[in-house]
Amino acid sequence: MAVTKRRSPIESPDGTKKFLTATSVIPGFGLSTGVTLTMLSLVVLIPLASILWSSSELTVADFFATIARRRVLMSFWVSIETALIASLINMVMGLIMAWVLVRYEFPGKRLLDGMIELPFALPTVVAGMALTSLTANTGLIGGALEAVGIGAPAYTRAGIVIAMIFVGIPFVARSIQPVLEKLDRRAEEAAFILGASPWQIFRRVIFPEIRPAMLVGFGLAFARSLGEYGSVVFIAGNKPFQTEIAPLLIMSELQEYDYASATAIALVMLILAFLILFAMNLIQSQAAKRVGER
Amino acid sequence: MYVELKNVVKTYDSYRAADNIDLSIEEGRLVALLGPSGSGKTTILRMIAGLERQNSGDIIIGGRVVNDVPGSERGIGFVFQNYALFRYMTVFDNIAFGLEIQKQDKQVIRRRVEELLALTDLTGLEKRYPNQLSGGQRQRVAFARAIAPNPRLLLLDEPFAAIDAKVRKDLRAWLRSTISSLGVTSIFVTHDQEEAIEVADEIVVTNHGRIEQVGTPMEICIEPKTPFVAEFIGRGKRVSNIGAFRGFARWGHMAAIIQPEFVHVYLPGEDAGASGDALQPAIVQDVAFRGANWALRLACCGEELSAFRSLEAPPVHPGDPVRLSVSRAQGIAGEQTEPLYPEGT
Amino acid sequence: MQQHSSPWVRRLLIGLTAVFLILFLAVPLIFVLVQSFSRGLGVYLSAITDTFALQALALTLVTVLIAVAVNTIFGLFAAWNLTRYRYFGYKIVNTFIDLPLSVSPVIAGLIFLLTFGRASPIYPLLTAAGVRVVYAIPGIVLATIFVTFPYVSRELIPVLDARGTDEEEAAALMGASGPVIFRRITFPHIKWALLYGVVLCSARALGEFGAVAVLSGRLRGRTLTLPLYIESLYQEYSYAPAFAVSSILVVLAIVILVARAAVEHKGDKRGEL
Repeated sequence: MAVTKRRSPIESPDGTKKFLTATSVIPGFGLSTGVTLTMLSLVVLIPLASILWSSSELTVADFFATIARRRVLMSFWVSIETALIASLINMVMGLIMAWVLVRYEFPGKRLLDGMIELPFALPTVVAGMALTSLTANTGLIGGALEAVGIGAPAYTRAGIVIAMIFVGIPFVARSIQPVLEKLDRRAEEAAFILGASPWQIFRRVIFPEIRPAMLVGFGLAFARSLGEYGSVVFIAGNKPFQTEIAPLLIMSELQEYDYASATAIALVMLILAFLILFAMNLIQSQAAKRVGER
Repeated sequence: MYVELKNVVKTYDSYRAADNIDLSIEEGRLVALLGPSGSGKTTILRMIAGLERQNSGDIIIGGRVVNDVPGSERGIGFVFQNYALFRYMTVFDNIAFGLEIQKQDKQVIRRRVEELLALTDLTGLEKRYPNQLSGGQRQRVAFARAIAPNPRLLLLDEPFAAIDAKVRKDLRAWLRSTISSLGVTSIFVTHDQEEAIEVADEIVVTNHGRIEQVGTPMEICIEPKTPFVAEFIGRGKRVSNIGAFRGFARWGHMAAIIQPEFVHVYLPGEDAGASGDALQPAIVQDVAFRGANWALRLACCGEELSAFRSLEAPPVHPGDPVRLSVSRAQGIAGEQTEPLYPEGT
Repeated sequence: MQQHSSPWVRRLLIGLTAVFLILFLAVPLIFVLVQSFSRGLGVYLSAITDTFALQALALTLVTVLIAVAVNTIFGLFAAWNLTRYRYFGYKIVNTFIDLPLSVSPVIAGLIFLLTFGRASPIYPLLTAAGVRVVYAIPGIVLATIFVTFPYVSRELIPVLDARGTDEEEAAALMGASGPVIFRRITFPHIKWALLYGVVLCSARALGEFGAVAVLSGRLRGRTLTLPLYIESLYQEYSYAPAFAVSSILVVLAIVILVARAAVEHKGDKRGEL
């Protein structure tokens, strides 16, 4: 990750950090801390705590009974399986796209670069509808796949994966691109002069530099795919045990006013999200440490 | 005394950046804080500016204890290491900023900025942005910005670090004469001994968060008080047994530092003048051309010495046997040093 | 430096990128536009001028406006706070701010349902005061704020971190107050990042579906945002009108992408020393 080496008091050894006091001549510490913490609490922390509070009303036995239902377990499995496949595909494609967009010059490059962020800008409902219509057996792509005997992806797990690929496209590429741009080309030149082949240069010199960014991008894409609802709801078909992902199950429990069950499933998903976030922070701080040691 | 530090301590975790610092600086002086990186010199400067706060001890500026006075009310000007120019403001706006904050009259500001542009030789560049200036010009803008509000104390953090070698020489002379004509008390931080010696009236040598010695450049060079200063200033070599050198026998097995300026080298047959009988044999290990003279590395009595040799003298080569005399050394006795002269001179 | 990968590798990788992006992004986009006119211009126009569609658009725009305003204020304070000062716990605060990014939108809706809904301890208070949050507009707005919460601060923090604090320190030493430092020193550095953050935040708020779906009572003309309205048309098998209304969002998405590219280009040109 980009670590800027610049002398400033906040980068001096950390001994002066105290709880809610900071030594800086720049005014506004109290006000900015107050606003930040208040808004963070009101918008994020207190509402999130409601999940913990609500699930504390469940007994441990109830909680596990809810979670251990086959339908629930299957929904977790479908979610994790499809999100993992989609994020792995996005990781490989993200690496290739970042490489192509940073290292090569070709006509239409700016257009492709601009397109990558479409999933951020296009509402997921619209994407979900379009992908469903395209990949159903009556659709352009689905029909063609059915004709060659593969079968239409819509309303199967393959369809879920397609929707998740769509929403996860920007994460890996956008995470790697800045790192690749800032990479010191002299290390590659040194390797080249020492006789390394292009593949060796990539694997030994370049890849270790971009690996943390790639993993962070993967984590973001995975978290996003795992929680995705809007684009998946159309394409999944929502058949329990087969194409029902966890967010869909939470929604259907809510529609039946089964708050306890919805809360229990949500709690498991939140814990999963926390673990992903924690892993990414670990990767980032280790990468920063490694860069800092040089 | 204009600036005083009394028992000032500053720690980061277990690291002592300032370890009981006592320091007094007279009004109107140009003082260098000199030391290797991590010696605490920048911390001292930032504490005087109010950018850091000491853990204990007092800082006094102009007779007032300023421990609880914010940096903006200490009457100081500060030149940052990378100048910290306001990148989105023109040269004029950069220099005028402090005066605008003081809500001075527009006309007054204009006149003051123009005066400073002339002083810093920047007239005509007032509409430029910092990224359109050379390193030397940026430094002068930073200087003008710092002195615009007429501070009583000017602090400069490594003011020459980001400038090319050639421009640096000129800027040093310019800064020295400008500061002395303004008469403002100034403290600058540097790790470059040559810079400190050339620019400052007074040098404060720091090491490991402590002050090793305070003195004029002459005092620091001729009479380093501690082994650290003796080694840090100049290119001297440390020898473990000064008694082995001719004329120094009575100090026996004492460690000492010998500066190259005090080692005189002669080829066999070369006229050694008055020091003729004090000569002893040595072997040339290495010769390096330094532009103004030759730098020699010599082996003598099992010790290594360095020496300079004039370009006009007959050249010497590695492996040549030569003769040398030492006219002065700095003996090391614990934490102190004392000057040693050979007997019979 | 010479291009040391072979032309075949180069062509293969560029080809893969182009095919992947066109298949997954361009084709669906064009498909929406084609479908929206599949029943002719008349159906298209009547679909997008339908009263319910316009009401959904109005609700969406109001929601976006509030969410962007709140998150911009938060983003500015948080970015300033987390990059200008180091205090115990700033890293935890930083992590919590990004939390909404990895929480499923459905869960985002659920937490507000739990906080303000029938099961909440403050529900009687809200009812007594006549305030309806759940299945009403306030709930939709709150969920949208949650989902887009980090979007502005995330754009500002890296810019301010890379910039360092010495310009602000220099100004503070000259006695400048907080607002003056922000307006004259900090703001010029972050204005393009801020604009980009606002654009991204708007885009995400505009399209939010899952969280809003939980909290909306799905009353046509009352609590349906544009994405919810589109979904309801689709579920009724009114495909052409659904795609017609979607085309408004597609056009907005393209405008956002172009604006983004322009902002980035502008930011690149300016001020980098």
